[in-house]
Amino acid sequence: MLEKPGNETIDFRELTYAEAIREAMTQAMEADPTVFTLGEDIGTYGGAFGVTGDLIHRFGAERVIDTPIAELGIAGAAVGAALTGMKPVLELQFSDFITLATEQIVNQAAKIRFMFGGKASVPLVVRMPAGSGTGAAAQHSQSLEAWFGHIPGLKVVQPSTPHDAKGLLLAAIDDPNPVLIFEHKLLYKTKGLVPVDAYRVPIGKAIVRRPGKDVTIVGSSIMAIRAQAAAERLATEGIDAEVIDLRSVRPMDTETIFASVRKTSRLLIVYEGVKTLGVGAEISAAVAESDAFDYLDAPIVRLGGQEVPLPYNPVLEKAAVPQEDDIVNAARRLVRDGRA
Amino acid sequence: MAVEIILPRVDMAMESGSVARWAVKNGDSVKAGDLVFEMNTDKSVMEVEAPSAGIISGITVDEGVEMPVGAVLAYILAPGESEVTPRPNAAVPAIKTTADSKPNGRSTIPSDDPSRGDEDGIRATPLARRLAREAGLSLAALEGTGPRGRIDSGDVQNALATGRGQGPISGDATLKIRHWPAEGQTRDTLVLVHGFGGNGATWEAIGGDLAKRGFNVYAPDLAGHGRTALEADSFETVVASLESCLANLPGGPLHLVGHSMGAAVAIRAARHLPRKIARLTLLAPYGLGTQIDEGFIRGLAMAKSSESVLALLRLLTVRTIGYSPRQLEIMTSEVSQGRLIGLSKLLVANGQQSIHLLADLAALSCPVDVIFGVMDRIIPWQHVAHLPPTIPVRLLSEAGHMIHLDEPEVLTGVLEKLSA
Amino acid sequence: MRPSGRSGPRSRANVDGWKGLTRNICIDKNAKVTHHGDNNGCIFIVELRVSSPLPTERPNQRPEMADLSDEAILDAYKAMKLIRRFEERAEESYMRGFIHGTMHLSIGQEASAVGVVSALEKTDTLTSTHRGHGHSIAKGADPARMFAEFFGKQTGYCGGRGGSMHIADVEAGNLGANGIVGGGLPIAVGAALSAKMRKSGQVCVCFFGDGASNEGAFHEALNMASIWALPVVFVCENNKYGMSMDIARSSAVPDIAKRAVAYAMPGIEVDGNDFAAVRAVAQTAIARARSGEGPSLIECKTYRIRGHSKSDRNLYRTKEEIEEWRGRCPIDRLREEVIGLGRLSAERFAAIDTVVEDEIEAAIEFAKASPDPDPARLTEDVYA
Repeated sequence: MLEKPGNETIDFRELTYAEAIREAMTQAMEADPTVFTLGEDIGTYGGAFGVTGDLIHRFGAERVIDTPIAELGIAGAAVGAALTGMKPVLELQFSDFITLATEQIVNQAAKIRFMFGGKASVPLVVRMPAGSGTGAAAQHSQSLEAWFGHIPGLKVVQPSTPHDAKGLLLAAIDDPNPVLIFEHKLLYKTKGLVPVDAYRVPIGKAIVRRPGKDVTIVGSSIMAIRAQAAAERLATEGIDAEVIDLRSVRPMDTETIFASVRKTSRLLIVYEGVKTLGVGAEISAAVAESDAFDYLDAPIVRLGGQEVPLPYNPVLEKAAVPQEDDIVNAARRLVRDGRA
Repeated sequence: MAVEIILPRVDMAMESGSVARWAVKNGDSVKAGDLVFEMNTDKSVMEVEAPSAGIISGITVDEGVEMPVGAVLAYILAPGESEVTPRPNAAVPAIKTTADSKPNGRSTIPSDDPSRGDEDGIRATPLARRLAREAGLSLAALEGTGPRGRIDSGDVQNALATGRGQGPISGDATLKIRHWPAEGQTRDTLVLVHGFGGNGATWEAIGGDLAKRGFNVYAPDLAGHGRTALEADSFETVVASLESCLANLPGGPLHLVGHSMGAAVAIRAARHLPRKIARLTLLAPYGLGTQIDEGFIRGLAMAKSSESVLALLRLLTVRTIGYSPRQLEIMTSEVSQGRLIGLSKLLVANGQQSIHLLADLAALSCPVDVIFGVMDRIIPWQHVAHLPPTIPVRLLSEAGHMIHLDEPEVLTGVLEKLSA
Repeated sequence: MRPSGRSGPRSRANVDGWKGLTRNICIDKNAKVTHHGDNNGCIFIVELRVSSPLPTERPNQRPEMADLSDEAILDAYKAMKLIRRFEERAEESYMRGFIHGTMHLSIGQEASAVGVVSALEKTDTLTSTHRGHGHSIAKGADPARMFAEFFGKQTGYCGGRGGSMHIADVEAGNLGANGIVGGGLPIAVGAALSAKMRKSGQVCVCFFGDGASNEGAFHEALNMASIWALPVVFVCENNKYGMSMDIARSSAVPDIAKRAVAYAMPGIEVDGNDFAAVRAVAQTAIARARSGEGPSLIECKTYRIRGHSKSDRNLYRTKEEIEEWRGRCPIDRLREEVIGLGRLSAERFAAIDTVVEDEIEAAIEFAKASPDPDPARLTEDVYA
């Protein structure tokens, strides 16, 4: 229980990230009969990562729909349903398979509202397990959020905690626009405090996870978690890092980042997507263009995925994306030496 | 009604076109679908057919003439219809490119902005630039401690703390100063004072080297010299302004190293700041005797061309020092301003040194060392004979007047030894 | 055929009171039946959805034609003529430089569009293709707002932001033309899924071309519609060519209807230039979908008189072929058949021609006079 100002109490308890998502689905489907979910193996099987679990027993096969293996078809079906009064939550089994569905997401869902002169909307949610670390190798481990963050008409979020996983999904279901949620696979079993009731985490807002004054570290998805761990280690060396969890790739909360850079004068961005042309490139440019530029006392540094398809071997797989040590080293070099 | 035959638009970006070949002429009879003309397009020759049956009339345009899309090229008259007066079609003027409506938005850099406009390309972080700009500090006066000599906010804050390079460039009474911060274990603070017609840059050769050995090294530009705005209207002004500078340097007592006229200034300053000056080292000092190469002093004060400057510079050293054209240009531009003419007359009159400092030397309580180059052509080394016996003398057989240019390693070694 | 809607005597004897009529009455689900008279000699008066002479008075007509009332025929003729004149005038406007980009004209395919859409309810939905002007007009789109959209004007269906390939009126059930070949197939499945979940009774018609039948989306959509028995009717307008590729070269099975067997749904091939035939086939498929029995695949064999788009030079087909199909114009065929049967006079059709001409002319004037969109509002309506 937590006391809110005004003497309301909020009931929390510990849930895993996967359980939090399932709870969001349950609460949304109970509250609104137009919400339903579809995807491959989400019904009887309970989802490849166990996220949908027993939803089918609660809501039946009409609202928890097992589909054939047909990403383009099911994405388009979700678009058509959203266009005609329903609120589909589409689960793609791996975010990599969004490549098969991209036509319907990019050419149709993202653009219908604009192309039709503002007279329609596509309230669609697409949820996907993303990221590396499970040995699933190159075609099942990617982080493609930057591709879709590039498309006007889409919204793209990456929750890093069970609390945010539930709150962002509920917000996405409420949102009349198409929202893509990239869930990191390694986060499904992580635990955190989650309020019992339904609540929303606003799309388009970053959050300061740890205040500090020597360097700003912006992390997205699992990197927000690694950055916080790195910050604790840096603190023992006398480096006080401010950690921002990006949460939302599109729209992106650059104001929070600017305010932090004005305070610390140093910026380190950590993300799992390939470094080149990734989320960090956008943040760097946005900061350099803003008034926060005049507060920078060192180059902006990005830590991103290596320029390589994700390898199978576990040592190589770890080496291909930023780890906690990399964040510590980069922050130290940035603060001590003023360089990348 | 007469039916119009127009130049059709057939490609997405097409705005004009021309008839490649007319297949009919005025008076010809056509039925719907007959070929009327051919036109060239991006992809191939396009055949344009008659939209209806009738008599061709009023062909207005020749083959090859560029017309806008939609222009009426001819008419088809039904039997019995009268001729139509063709409306004149404006031919398409020569292709004009759409002017870029966005102006080339480059704002001019304000020339009096002290943090910009350095042709040598100063590296400084945005934060450093802003802090310097806000404090009215010239970045050119600062030394950067960041990678590749980048100035960061710490350097600016240090400069503000030490009072170095503060205030706007013009109307400023403080001396511009170079700084080589000590590396590693810190030892004494050295202040190197240049001679007549020179500036702090003369110490480049040994400044960095000394810093590496742990010395915190400063090299001011005296009044009337280098980047210092204050004019040298009298010897006293030169001395007093150096004293202010020394007083503002952080840390404890300093080791003052003066060359030639700089040595003279140092002696006077040491007299007035006994607690600030821990030790004095004089290189080829002015003020011990009467003899001096007046021609050199006068010549340098009045030099206008880099050839004159170069010729004079050759007198100062035994070694042939190579000056880059840029260095020569800077030196010439400094002396040719004529700032030192007054001072030169104060220092040398009737072929002799006008200011005598032996009495000041004798009154100093701090340790003093004197170094002379035996090959000095400006001031003779024999002046050391006038020194009291308490002041050690070192004579360098291979050095001219500019000891620090002729024997930099020796000098560095001596300074280290003296500081031990 | 039994009259429906009223509990009461249903014996053949009573109905046979209308001797000779019973066998020829076409009664559909929405027919209204009233009972007059007493229980013994009851007379059923069946008010058909269309008021027209009963089919026994059309002994020489094929059933598809006999089933159509005069009103239905004239409505269809007007719709097809409107489409035809719309397309021709749009083409002319394009050649005069009023229309940006390009257009994909459906001249020659009018019967396919009108034949199917005229069998729909107002609340039904459809998805269309890049060659969709006809579908839109058949669904009731206002030519003035369509021209305005092509001219890029604020008053167009999409505020000038969509253009020819993205005309839509979602509220009226037109879920949009589509610039992606095959883009509308999965969307139609979604609309049908949505209708089924909401129990709205709506049917979605999915128009696509022969080219689209080779896209993966075709396979995925038909499969899903079938396994879930969705209320969707897939209508392939096979006009023989993708862009420049003849169907014989591009498709392993060039008769698209035959592919239906792979998805366990009825596949019907029909002369796409015969309005009455298309209408009859569509009616059956739509009724099947609405009743919950699932999807169907209709293949309308038709032809586009014009090239793929405005920059098509028609180098891939012969003039003879084009001429041959021009001779099978669906509008001429309908008019001639009906006049030949003595059902309606030529004057009735000519009157419609005049009305259509005036409507199109006014539509173009409206479009020309409409304002352009305001660039200051460029980034509006990206997000809801």
